[in-house]
Amino acid sequence: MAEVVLHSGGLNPPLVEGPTSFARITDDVCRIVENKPPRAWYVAMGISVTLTLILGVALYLLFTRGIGVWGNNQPVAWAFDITNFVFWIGIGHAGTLISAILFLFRQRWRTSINRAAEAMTIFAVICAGMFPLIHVGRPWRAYWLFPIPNPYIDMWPNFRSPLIWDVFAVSTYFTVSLLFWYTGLIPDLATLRDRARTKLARWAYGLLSLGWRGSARHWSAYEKAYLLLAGLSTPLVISVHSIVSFDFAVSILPGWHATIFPPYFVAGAIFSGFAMVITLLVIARRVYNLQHLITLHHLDNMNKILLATSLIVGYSYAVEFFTAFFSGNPYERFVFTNRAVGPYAWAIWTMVFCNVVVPQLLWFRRFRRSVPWMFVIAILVNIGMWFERFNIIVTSLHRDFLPSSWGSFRPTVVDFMTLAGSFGLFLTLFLLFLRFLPAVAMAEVKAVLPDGRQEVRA
Amino acid sequence: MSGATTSLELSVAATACRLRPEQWQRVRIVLVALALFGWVTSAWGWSQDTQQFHASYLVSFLYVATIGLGATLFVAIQHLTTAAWSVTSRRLMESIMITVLAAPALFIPVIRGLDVLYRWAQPGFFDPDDPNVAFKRVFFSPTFYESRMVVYFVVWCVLAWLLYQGSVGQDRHGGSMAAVVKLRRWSGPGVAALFVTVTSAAVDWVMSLEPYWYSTVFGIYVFAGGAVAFVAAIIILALGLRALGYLREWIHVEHYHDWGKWLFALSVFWAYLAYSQYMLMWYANLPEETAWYQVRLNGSWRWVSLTLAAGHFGVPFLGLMARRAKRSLPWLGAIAGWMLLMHWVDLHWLVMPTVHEHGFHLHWLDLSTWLAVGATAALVGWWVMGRHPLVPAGDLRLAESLEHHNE
Amino acid sequence: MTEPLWGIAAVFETPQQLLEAARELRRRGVERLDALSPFPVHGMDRVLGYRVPPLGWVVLVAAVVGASLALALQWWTGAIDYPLHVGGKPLFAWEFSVPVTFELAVLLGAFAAFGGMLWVNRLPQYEHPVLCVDGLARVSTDEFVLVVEASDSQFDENRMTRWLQELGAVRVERIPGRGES
Repeated sequence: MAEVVLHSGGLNPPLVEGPTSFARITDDVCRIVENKPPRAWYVAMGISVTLTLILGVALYLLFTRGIGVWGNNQPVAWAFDITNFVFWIGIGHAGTLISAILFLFRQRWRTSINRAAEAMTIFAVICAGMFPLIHVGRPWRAYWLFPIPNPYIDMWPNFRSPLIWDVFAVSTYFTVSLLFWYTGLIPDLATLRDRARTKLARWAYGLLSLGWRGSARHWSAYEKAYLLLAGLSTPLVISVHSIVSFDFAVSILPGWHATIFPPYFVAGAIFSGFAMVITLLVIARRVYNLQHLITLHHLDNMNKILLATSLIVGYSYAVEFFTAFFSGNPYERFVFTNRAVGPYAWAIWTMVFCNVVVPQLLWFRRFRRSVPWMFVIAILVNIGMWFERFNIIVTSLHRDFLPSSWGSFRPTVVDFMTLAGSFGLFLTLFLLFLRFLPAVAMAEVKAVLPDGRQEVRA
Repeated sequence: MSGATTSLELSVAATACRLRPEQWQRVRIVLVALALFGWVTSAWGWSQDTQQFHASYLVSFLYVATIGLGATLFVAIQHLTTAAWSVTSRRLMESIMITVLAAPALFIPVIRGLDVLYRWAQPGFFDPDDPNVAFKRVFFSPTFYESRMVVYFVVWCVLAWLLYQGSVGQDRHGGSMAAVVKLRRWSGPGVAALFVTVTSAAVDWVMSLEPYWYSTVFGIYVFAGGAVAFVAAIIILALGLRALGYLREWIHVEHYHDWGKWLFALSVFWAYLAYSQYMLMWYANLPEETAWYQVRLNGSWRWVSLTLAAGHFGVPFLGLMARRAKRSLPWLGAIAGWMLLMHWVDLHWLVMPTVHEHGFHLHWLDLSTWLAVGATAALVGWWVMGRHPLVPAGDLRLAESLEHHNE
Repeated sequence: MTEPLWGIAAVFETPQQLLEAARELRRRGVERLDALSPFPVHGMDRVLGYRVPPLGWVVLVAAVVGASLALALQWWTGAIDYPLHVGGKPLFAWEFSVPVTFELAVLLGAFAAFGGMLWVNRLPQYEHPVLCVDGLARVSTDEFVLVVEASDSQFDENRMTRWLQELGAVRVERIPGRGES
């Protein structure tokens, strides 16, 4: 039976590679925070901050001159703004998927990547939340979106509008993701506190770790709360992108009004989010020498999820296309024909190529375990998923029901500055996270090591 | 497994876990009797009320087919994810899955009655000069329709057969990594093919009952309902065998707990799809879409809709939320039985308003066709269950599955 | 020596040793015990004999409250306080109330889960004798520590130290009480 035993090992590959111990994991993760960052970090930070400054300039132009600095027009009233919003909120879905859904599915490999992915979620939601606020034209009145009694208009938000549902969904998502992330951080912040060499670090990490001392009673309530937060976050993450999809799908606009939108958007969000996680972790694990913690096995698994979600997204494209013709509705048929061969056909086929064609390489183990290949594929998926939202929004809007109302959309420089700037903001926040917080959930990784998993039945 | 420590001993114990021949025989006789009774009465009903027969038969056929397809999806996903927890119940999943082999034969009465039930199958239904129905005219042309049916049944039967053979092959020859990899290889494309074919079948069989109605999420809605019913069915099957004294040590409370989680999660998923479809149509208020709901929200159908919302979502949601509820076998069994009923209500609600526009109407043919189709499919499953051990004896993850517990 | 002693802490190398030591001390009648570890050690709640707090029910209640508030808000603002017809939609209907209701239920539920965890664990708590012992700093890295409080009826420093060493402690640390620098 030796052969069988050997093969059983193949079914459950080790989650951390090479010689390891609890202390080694702590050292490997904490040294990123405790030592001076590598040169690559400064370079990346320089680029990111520059991009963020560009965002500042773009916003200054927007606020002082108005929405006219963008290419938005009638009939294309939504363009880059909402495309970016949906793109970023989609990126923000991978973190919660990894930390909540994979947790409920007992996927232990998630422990190496969940912290960074959750951080990405929060930063992506910050980027996403910015867009609806700035595209309303008068962002200083954005609080009118909340049901706060106010003397200027003396009325309430319209709860029949999906845009108000969005306000609730995105702010709830941000808050709950932050709580979830912070809950997971507490024990690791205590580790940093206990290792701190400077007074400032000791004070700051001490403050953030709330006096955590790893008592069995602490852990007991902590694990229970973690499970509950996972249970709440799982339907939450599905609801958020479903509600984003309602922004479009409740309308009667062909190309927007489709009942498959909620699950299709959720799958697309996970798809794009995983692509972003892969993109960033492939770099981070190399720069910080974390290859034994974030192993090829982890990346392989993430690539499998990428492939699965790519297939779901492809399925949705196909069903939508089929139904447009099956329905017998001439407007639906027109919109989908126009998508395929109209003025934005290049954008559609870019999307199909990046989101459906390229990820098929991931059927093969060779591509799933090749870092350069997965990096290229993940980048292409990021591009493809941005175009997906662009297509949904712009191609449905630019041909109105009456040909006399047709138009087209051309982005301006400020549009591109805002898009690039949002990447700058996202990356700046992510780099600060890498610099000051533990990038891998140490306590959770230790708990899935063979030494940590030997349980004693009482 | 008490006493068995090495994987060899475990495998031997698993191989010995079989249905007792006389018991197998007895159940088979009951199933044959039920099937005969069902077919004879259904045939008589057909001669009395052809339209009612075809409508009732379609519901019964869909009931069996969706459960079998749900099982196929589940088995494939277990292989894809190399899941360990479900290994001891996988043979039961496979036995439900194999009923798919009966689907082509069971489909014959459906295709014989197309023009009774489906308006598009009546000659001259689509105006040849109307460009808006040009696509449908081609799509529902007899040749194209029949070739699609062939594709569905070939895909389903081949997939079910491959997954089944791959699994029972390990009973005889022992498990190997090669077998695990082979099953996983079939499962990936298999799941993809399943989604495409089931979506298309849902359009052909159910959505097109109302020839002008359309909903892009409909295929997944039907598939989700089938998956819920499959989980309910496997819980009932496992508990039934447990009551007869089988599998007590193999499928224990930790496994039932996980099946309970699946029942809970999939019911919620079903409700999510049902709500999304309904709310979007309610909100947009387009006449070509709302007509479908109009029928179902008026008259006595309204009560069926409410029953569905409360029973297909509310009952499992509240009933299975607590950990203790999922770990209580009688309670879990009761909810699973209820969900099997609700799946029938769901399909009835999808199909029957086509022929009973003005209100909910229960007919004895609903029961007799259900007995005919159900007992026939059950016979197929029961037949193969008698031929193999009740647990996948050769599976490499057998020990891991037995030790499984929820932290 | 009159310095107040809050308790003593025994350092173990593996979670299994920690669990065994805790079980043995419980068997000998020691009540005021705590176990510190860098990650949760399963089975410890049963050994130390405390019940897991019923956070699930707290979350459920909070979620129901959140859902009710959301429904009340949407109904009152839309249909009572400022009825306004928009898009031919009813002033209030369950169909459009589901998203906000769900979100608020989750929001309050999450607050309850997080707040409940802090409440049960009495966090934030920046002063605790255990946190003042430098020799226990590695408990958040790789050491597994059993703490016996001096207030325990069985407590006798010498005897307890001997017991813990017999149980495999690599080190025993004294935890000074308040009033000592």
